[in-house]
Amino acid sequence: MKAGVMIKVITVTIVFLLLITLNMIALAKEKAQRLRHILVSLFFSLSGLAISILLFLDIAPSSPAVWIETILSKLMQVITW
Amino acid sequence: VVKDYQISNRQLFSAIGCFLIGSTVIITPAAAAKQNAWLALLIGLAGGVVLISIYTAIARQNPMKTWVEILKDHLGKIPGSILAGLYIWYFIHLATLVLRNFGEYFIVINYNETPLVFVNLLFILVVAYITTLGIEVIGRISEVFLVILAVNIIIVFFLLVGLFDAENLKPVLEEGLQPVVSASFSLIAFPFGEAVVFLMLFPFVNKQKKVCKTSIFSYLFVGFFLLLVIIRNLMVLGADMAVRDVFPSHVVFRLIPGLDLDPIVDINFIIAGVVKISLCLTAAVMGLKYLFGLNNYKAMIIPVASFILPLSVWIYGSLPEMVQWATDIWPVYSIPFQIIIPVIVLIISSIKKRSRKQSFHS
Repeated sequence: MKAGVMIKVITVTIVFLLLITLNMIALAKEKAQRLRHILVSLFFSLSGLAISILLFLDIAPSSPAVWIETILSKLMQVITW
Repeated sequence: VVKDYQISNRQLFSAIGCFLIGSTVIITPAAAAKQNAWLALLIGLAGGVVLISIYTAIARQNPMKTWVEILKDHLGKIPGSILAGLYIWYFIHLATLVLRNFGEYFIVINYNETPLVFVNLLFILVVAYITTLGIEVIGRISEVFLVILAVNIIIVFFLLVGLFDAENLKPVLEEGLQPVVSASFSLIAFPFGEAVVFLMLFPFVNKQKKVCKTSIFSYLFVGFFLLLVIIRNLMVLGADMAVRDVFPSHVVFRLIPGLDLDPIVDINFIIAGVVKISLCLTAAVMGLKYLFGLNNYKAMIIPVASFILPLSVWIYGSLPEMVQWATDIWPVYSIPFQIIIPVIVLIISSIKKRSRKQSFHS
């Protein structure tokens, strides 16, 4: 792995972890459904982090736009058939 | 819904206005109809008015309920929750697309050497901040900027009158109605049908009875200004150039004789874009609030925004791919979200209301 890519990956990981920590501190004040808040928040933050790392490493799979296009074209084939 | 935040009907009018103008002024969705784009807009607008009437009818029959609550009420807890989840994805996806549109616009027009992720980061920071301030603030921003946007479009229109060539609007319906109808279908999906986002926000409007009237007036208002934009672009550039250019409005601004209004005009459009993304983000986080029974929707803004940012970079490989997706795939993909599900819910809601009335009378 190139040094530049490594630095990008480490930076984005630190930024996301910082955001997650700050969010967790804010959520610690919640009295009701704290766990739900944390789980939903973690789901989006970690997904964002995963996509960022995959993009920087240049190993991201085809995007949701391509998935949707494929699903729709298969659906259209079924409908026309 | 606990109404701890409210927007006035005028703010709703402006929010819908900014939302619809949003990315439509920089990318012309009716381009496929060539010189008949104005006709496609009028047909699309009629379709849009029908759609917003459906959305407001749903809101009227289910007062003080957000779209997620309505789905759960009428379709059952599990199917309703699944559909609500899909709608949250749709709102996030829409925010991502608009963010990418504006990111690409910035890079193509001004910052050719700047990475897309950096431009989008600056955008999403502003959007997240505005969303944290609440829908009242988004309403107030729209109130100010819709007027500026409208004045802006009128001024640019008159500054370009000298370059207008009415021949560019001819021949009318040269290739028949089919291209016009298909372009108007694209227009219904982008931007008019995208106002399905407002089903999450209607419960927070002050005067519920006027929601329908306000929304329809806003559509007509926006329709008029979009008509000016399309006619202006066609008369200045001609149909071929307007179709070939991804951002025809920008090319038109550069042609204003003796003036370089480009940055001022761009800033106004970008603000409309920020309003549109903020409304999508608000709808998404509110959806999460009502889907998972969370108390604090604002705590979800940063996580969702930090998901939207990398998604906006990942979603398309290039600018042509983005344009092709927006014109070919988006209208088909949007049919269930914008038309099928709302119509089904409206029918179920009407039947339930009627049976409730009948049982009350008997």
